[in-house]
Amino acid sequence: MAPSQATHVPNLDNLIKSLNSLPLEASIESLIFLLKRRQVTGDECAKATAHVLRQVVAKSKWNDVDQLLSRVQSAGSRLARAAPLEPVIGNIVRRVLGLIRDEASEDRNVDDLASEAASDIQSLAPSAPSPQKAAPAPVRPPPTVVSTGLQVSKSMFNLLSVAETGDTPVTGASTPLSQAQTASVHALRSEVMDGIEEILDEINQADDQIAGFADIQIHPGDYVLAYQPSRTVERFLVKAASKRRFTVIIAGLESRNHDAITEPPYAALRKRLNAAGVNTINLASNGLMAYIPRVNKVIFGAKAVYQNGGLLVDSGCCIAAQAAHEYLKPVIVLCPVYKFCPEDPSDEVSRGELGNPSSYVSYADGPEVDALEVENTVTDYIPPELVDVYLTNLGPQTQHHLASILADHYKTEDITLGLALQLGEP
Amino acid sequence: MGVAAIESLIEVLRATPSSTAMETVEVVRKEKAKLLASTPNPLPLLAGADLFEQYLLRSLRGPTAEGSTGSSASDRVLSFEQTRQHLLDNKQLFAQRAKMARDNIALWGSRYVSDGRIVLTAGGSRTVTKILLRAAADPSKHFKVIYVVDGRNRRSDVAVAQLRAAGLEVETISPHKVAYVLANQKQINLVLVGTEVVMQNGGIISGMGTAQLAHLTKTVKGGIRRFYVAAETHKICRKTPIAYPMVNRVGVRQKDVSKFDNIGVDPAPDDAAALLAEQDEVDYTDPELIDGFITEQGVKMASAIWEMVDVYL
Amino acid sequence: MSSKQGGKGGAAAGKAKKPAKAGTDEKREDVLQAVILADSFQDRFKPFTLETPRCLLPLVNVPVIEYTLEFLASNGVQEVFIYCGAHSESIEQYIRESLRWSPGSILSPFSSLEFIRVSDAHSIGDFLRDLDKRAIIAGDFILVHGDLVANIQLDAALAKHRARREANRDACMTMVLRSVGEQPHRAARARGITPVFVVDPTTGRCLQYEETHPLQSEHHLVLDPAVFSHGEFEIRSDLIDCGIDICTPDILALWSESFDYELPRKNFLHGVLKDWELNGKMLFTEILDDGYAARASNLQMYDCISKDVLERWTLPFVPDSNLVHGQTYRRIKGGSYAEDHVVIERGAKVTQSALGRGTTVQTGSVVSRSVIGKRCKIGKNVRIENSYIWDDAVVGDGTSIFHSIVAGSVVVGANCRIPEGSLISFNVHLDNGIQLPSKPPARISLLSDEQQRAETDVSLVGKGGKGALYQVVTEEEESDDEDGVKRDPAILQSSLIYSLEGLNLSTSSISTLASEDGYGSDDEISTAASLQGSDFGQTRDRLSSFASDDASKPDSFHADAVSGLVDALRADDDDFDSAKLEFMGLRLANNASDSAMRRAIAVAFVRRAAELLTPPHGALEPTRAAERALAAKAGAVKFIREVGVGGDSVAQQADFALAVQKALLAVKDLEPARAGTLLAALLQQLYSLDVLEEDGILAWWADERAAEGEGMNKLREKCRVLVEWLENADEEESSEEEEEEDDDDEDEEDDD
Repeated sequence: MAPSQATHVPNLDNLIKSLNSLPLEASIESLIFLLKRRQVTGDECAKATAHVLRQVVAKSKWNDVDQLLSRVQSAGSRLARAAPLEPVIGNIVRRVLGLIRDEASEDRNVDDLASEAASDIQSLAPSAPSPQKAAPAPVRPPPTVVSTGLQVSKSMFNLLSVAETGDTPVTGASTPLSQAQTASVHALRSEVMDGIEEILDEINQADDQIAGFADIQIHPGDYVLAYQPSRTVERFLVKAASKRRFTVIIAGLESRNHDAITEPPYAALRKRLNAAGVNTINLASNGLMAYIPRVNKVIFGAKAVYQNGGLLVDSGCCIAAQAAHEYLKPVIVLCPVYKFCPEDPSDEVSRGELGNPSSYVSYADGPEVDALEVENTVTDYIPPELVDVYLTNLGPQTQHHLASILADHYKTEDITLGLALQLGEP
Repeated sequence: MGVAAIESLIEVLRATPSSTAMETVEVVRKEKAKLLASTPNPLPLLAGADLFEQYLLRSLRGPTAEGSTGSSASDRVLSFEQTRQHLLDNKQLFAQRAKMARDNIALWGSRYVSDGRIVLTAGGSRTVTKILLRAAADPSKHFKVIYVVDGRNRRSDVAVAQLRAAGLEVETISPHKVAYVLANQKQINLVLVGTEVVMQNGGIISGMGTAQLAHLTKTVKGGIRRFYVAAETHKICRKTPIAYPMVNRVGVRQKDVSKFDNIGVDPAPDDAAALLAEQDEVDYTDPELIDGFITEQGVKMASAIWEMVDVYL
Repeated sequence: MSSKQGGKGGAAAGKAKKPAKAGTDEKREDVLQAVILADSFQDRFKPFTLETPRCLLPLVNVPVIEYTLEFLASNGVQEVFIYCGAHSESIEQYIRESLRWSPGSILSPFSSLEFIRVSDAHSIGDFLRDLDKRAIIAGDFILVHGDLVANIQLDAALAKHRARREANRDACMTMVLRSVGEQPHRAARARGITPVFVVDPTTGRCLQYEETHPLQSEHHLVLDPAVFSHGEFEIRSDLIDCGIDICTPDILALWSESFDYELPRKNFLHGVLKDWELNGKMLFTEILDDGYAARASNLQMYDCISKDVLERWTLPFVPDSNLVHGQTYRRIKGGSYAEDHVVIERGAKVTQSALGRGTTVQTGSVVSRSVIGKRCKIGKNVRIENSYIWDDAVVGDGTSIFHSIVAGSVVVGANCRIPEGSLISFNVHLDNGIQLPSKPPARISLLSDEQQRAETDVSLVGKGGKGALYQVVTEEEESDDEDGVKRDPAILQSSLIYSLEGLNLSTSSISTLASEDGYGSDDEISTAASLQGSDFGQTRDRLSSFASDDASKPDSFHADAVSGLVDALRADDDDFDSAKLEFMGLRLANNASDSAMRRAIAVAFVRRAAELLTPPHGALEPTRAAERALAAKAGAVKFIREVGVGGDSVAQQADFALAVQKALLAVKDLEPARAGTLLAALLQQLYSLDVLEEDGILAWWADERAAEGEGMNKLREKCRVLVEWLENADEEESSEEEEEEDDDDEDEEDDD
């Protein structure tokens, strides 16, 4: 029997494989616990969330758009709550919600055209406060407010609008079930699932797309400082190496697996870069400042980008960014669009996540374990002032364009997901 | 103020006998102009009055325009007559909604108050007070407040009294001390102000001293501090101050310091009366200095304000 | 799996069965099975475990078994069998009501979870023998205890185990151990018993297993000669045994063959290794240098693990991971964790603690390095340090609690003081202003040991209080009297604070902890053994030396005998005869040699004499001490003469003198000059009591062994005056005795 098989330890791949056979609740739950146990982290979270939400759309029972939205929302916020410092999860949930809203409204429009005459049925819905007979049916469902009592709309006319805000929930007003719709549930399901496939494709391709901009960002002869290169950054550098001759300075320690502890940090990356003819220099963190004056640009990957342009990053990046800022060296952050959060960083973000103190002190060192309190922050927050370019899979962006990217990708109605999390009642 | 303008225009509407749509709009416009002229700082009224006018006008464009864009969310577009009736019937509702908007802002804003930190604020905004009270209601959050008071703005004193009554630790400082306090109180991580008006470029025109506070928040070193403005979306005013003196260019009548008119020229007594009293003077704070707006629709970046106006048009 | 009723002869049968079982082994290789032993048949957690099983006691507000189950889930275990003993209903009920673990639940990460009740089980051994009978174990399985907290990944260990098993059928168990380094460590301190593994560093094979603990009077181990023949080996006492064993089913057969094994380590492991030549089984260790694994096996470990959890060594098993359903921990300032609806009033300070849902801490209170359960009410100006307060407890204003456990629904009145080490069990009420005793710390419970409601002790808990002192029923006292060696190390483990105080340990036996075992055997052998040790491999070991005598040498005899004698000498009554009898009994039982007896007697009297020099025992002068030690008990002198020296020959007397000298050298807290003076005093005393004769002492003086090494020589030098006097004074002994005494005193003054 080959000993190679059978890793019993659950991980993302095993989960994805088993998703089809598991009942829905079980797959949501498995992911929640993988997240809580930190067995799925970082970029994997996005993928895992999309896979599980796909199951939610496929397997849960829903008869109309509102129900679907609420199913996705509740599953999504449970996932997001499981890992408060992986904002990517919330982003994917919002993307899927937005996707459902889009698909639904398209359907409606088609429906409306097809059955203009039959649209009277819809006016049987609970009537609006206006004493007059309701004029043409609304084109889209009003925002559904599922987990909070908070009314969200994006119009300034809120104040004067006809629709009741707050007192009576407006959900359902537009979603009576006609038979046509029952049929369209099926269509909607498959469309939304296709949409989620596209999101998955986007996640999978993002790194390559970002790497596609490598030769624009990196010029021949550059000295590029890569701080704790993530997989995205690695791919970017390797791609650049295929086109350009430059020098990479790698700073920070690789924090991944304990097995490879004997290897010098980032040995694999260095090998690949050297093979492409790019020089690499490894740098201890404390030598960072000395090298910054010689560096042309600083590159690192972000775990998330907030709406104010601030970044959630692996700890240590902030030092590199600050050093670069001090010497007026451009800081380029690689971050696929799915990592952009339509939120401001919470206190938890600025406080950072605490890791296991054993990265710094061995548990076997009795006197130190007794005497020291070791706080090992594993995440950092970088304020927007320190970042020059956000290199996304859609191309380089500046801070001022973040708002429009967010507006393109998220529906205002779904931003509340964040608040729902904060208020956090299960 | 904005809501007051809307309420008075509704009364105008009520008093105007129902005639053609365009006629009604004319009447409203005239009344609006009168209203604005009556005060040296018409901006808060302008925001409300504009909103009212636009809402009325939109009904003229009719529902067809709406259907094609498919973007407006919670709002169905009524015919002109319906609109008129709706406005007349629901005056109370609007006031109530304005209040509710403040409640929602308090909900959003209280998230930004951190445990163990200090909030620096000024100006006596009721919205800010509400945010702080809401945050104080969370038993797991303990924070302190430093209030900038200048001795003339009564609203600040009221706000301080309210906060203290709620059991918050509040310290008051004079405006001269802002830089000193910012530099020395490392626990300050949030500077929170209210505003009367949000300009469409994301700047604000608010009580004198706000701009100073914003500048100092950005420039005094030490720690990450955020400058947030609490404002309802109906305070957004479709104007952009572009040239100095900015506030005067957008219609605020206050003393123009650049004229150095202390020697020789005696200002006409009527002019002086038409100007804003010194304690009510306003200044303009650049959007660059503002980290975000806490609105009832969530927290927006300054750059997002423009897009909201876009929706509204 | 047929031969359960195995006696010793079962070993061969076990071997023969193997091929048959191989098929089932491999068939279900991909399903990982685990067995949880949810009862350990110990009462270290009493009085808490009177009402609640140990594995449901909250550790940082989570029942301990949750950690164990989650650990198994995180390692991809699919089938779980839980053996419950005491309180099995409540464990079953807990699991069945749990959303996550309930056997039928679709949310459960396990494909099956079964409870197994064994009605007449009295030890873990019974469980495992039962498991063998049931034949539910298909292949390799993981054996853990229900109080395990670990975040390690077993993948590598599992793979290695499989590879070994593929290579050799007899490699049937891998023990996962965590190294804690050679320096003092809180987890090492807390475990009470120090396991000592003799391990082949290249293969990880375990060659011998022993246990040591501070209460044993003889601090050395005896290595099996087979170990030496093995080649390179390490002796490691720096390991935390977290009780994770990766086993093949053969292991169960081994249990069945030995019906008297109870404990998996002390009996089973020790026994199987010892009988290696018989059973041919090889057991391996997997020693981890990172990751976290420990068992909350006693209150001190509970304390230690709780702190480790709060300090995040156990990540992801930390409060803010919220691994248990419905938990809502967040990190708050001060390095603390709080759930929703926790109210920390303004002016209260909470650092490095965890607070459960609905708990209130009123103003002015300070909580540090503590865990407070759900719905607790902590009053004003309360101080809580290093303590564990379980759900629904109420603590009144102005009360201080230090390093104690306050169990669920306890009500502590205002202005009480609960000092270090107190254990207050469920539902106890303390009236206002109660000051609990600090020495020994109180254990208060509503129930007595027999599950009866105890009568409230008003003097302890106050008029409005409920609860009584919980009497620990151990054989502590009795065993002390009977024979010192049976002092149960469990005493060390049943208190919250590790302390040797109040356990009536002689100072000398504490000192032996350090390194005095040199006298545990003849010097030559001892040196040789350590040389061998360093030749064969590093000695990674806290025991600074170890002795290796002939395998046949009855070492336990020495330990037992010495402590028995010392205790008898210490006793207030005048009865030395029983000690004598006991000694002779031991001698017969162990077939001890004359030299061993001589050694034991010398050590015992010397210890007593040295002890008398120390302040707690009167700080006597050496002369007086020697006299008291030797002559205080009627019959002692005779005993020494007859048994200790054992004859009249000069050689025997010299040997005894030499034994006294060596024993003195071994007493650690004694500076050499003083020890020398004491030696002189003892010899003189022995001389005047007619135990030793002039010739005997002179022969000792002439013996080169007495002058060997610097330490021995120093002691010997101190006796020069005595010897010279003996040499010179032939007749007038009695008249010159006083002079000599004076000399002695002068000597002493010189030293000081």
